Amino acid sequence: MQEGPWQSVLPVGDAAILLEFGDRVEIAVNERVHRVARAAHRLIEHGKLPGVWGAIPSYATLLIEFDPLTIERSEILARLRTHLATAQEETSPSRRFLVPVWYAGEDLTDVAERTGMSTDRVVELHTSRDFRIFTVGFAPGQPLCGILPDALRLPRRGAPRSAVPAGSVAIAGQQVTIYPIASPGGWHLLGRTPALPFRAARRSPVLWSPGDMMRFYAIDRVRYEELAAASAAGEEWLCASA
Amino acid sequence: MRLRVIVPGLATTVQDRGRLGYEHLGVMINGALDTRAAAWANRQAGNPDGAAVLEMTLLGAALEVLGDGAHDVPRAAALAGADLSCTLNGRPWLPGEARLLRPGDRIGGGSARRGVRAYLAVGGGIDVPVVLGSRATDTLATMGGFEGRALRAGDTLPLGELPPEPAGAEYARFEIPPTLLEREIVRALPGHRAAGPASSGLRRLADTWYRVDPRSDRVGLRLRGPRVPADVRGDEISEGMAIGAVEITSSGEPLLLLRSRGSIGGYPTLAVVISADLPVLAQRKPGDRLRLRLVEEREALEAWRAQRSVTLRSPRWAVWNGTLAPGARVERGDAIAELEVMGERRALRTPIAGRFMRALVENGAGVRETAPVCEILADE
Repeated sequence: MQEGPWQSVLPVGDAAILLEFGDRVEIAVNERVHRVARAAHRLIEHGKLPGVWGAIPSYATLLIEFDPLTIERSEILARLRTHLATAQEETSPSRRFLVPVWYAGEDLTDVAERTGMSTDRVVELHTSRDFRIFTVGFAPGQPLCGILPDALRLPRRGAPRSAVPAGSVAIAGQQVTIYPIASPGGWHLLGRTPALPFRAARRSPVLWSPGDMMRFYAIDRVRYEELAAASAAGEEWLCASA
Repeated sequence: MRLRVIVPGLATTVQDRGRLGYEHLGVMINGALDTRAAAWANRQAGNPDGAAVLEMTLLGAALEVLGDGAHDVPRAAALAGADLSCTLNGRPWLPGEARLLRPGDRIGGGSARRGVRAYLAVGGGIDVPVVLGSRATDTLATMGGFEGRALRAGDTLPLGELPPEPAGAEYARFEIPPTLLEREIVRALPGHRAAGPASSGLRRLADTWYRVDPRSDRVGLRLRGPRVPADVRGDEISEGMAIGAVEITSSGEPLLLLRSRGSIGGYPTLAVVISADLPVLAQRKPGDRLRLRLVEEREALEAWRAQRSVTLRSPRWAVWNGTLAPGARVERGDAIAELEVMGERRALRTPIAGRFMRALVENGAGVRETAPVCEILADE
């Protein structure tokens, strides 16, 4: 009954299940996650998963939230399997976003110390490769990216901050992210971007989708403030290149 | 008719059932934290469950009812959830009570006598713009509700179209069972990241009286107490977080996720509070005691079924029990019926002066239903 593109199905409380597709940050695993997530959203849109009200894809897992009085776990899985076996998949090509960062984050020095590097070297490592957007989540439009080079890997902070400033560019484990809004968080803050990942009034509220690529580049404070002002004025200056 | 904010209270926001369907974009659900009380208030005000209400936290708001001219008709309104010392025109207005609001009325609020979050529903609902399918306030993302923020003095809230049914039950009063506001034990299922049912972390979690930490908010309740040993697996990769998940931070501190939680998190889920007990978490304040009790899934589903069914069957209007003859008199304070309210039986006291109820007595119809109603037992 658990056969499908997923490896295992774990109950999460009485109103959610977690489909596991693997146990590491890996592109092939993540692509399977999003294939099933798209199927789930398609079924929800067409009213074919009554009682299911949320589907949250992450790196290697998909959380499905439902009302257990309306639908049973086995029924959700059965409908997903049927859809996946019969439906045509449409995929969109991956885009690449160049994201400016003012590297003056609260934890930059600390990260340099803990990894035994200079802050310049931390910035260089962070800007020298493309990161894949593995999923969007935690906060509106927040890209969760990887894979961070080994030399920069650190566990999360012991106590999460109750308010990380909006625009913070941060790392933890193999992951890289941008905090789109001030929110709690336990990651290490390297710098800040003036880009606005989420705007409710946009036709598509989030700039990027899972599978898109992101590359960071360093800017100074003056440029940061210019671009932040442009963002505040509603300008959409951050565009994807093909 | 509109509501003008005179004194905003601590964190008064517009909430509904929440912003569903956008979690894959990272959009938080939000919505009323005590879904049970919010639904209850809406039903008493004659609204559908999804209508937008005011959620008041620890300190009640003071509001003035403004008229829009000759077309104003009185609107039913109801309070449910915490007791925040609310008043209408200076007279007490307790949770569970419905009233009619007219232009010029003043709603007052004070400090919490019981519970944390109170809900004010007004017929027609609070009519703020719909953002991504919901009127819920998301204060973190600054969207939805009234300008994406908690209310301030001077804000004026428009009300929606009145539902077609007549306003009634003005004087009906239902006690909201205090057990929910004051419950100190919540039930939970073992989490999928606990190292088996014998996990020492899970046992520690379930064996401990915690206190709610002052840093708690709508994102989650942080618990203060002994650290939970990190014998859990799966800490590395972030994953979707269920509402009610009990995360263990790297310092061993339990964090219970509520409806403003981020969609994805990285701390392991050691337990998950059952759906039926999520409203309890909305009513615990900093310093309160809290303990988790592990249960079987069967009990979780039974509790949820019981709560959902009575929520769905709770009355939109008070329903006459039919034991009174036409023209009979009932004095204020007389018990006329017993009402099953969300799983608990309560005496229903005289809803006698409202035009709706008088009409019922006069035509002898006995029962007037406008929606599925709860069970009414004659008070012999």
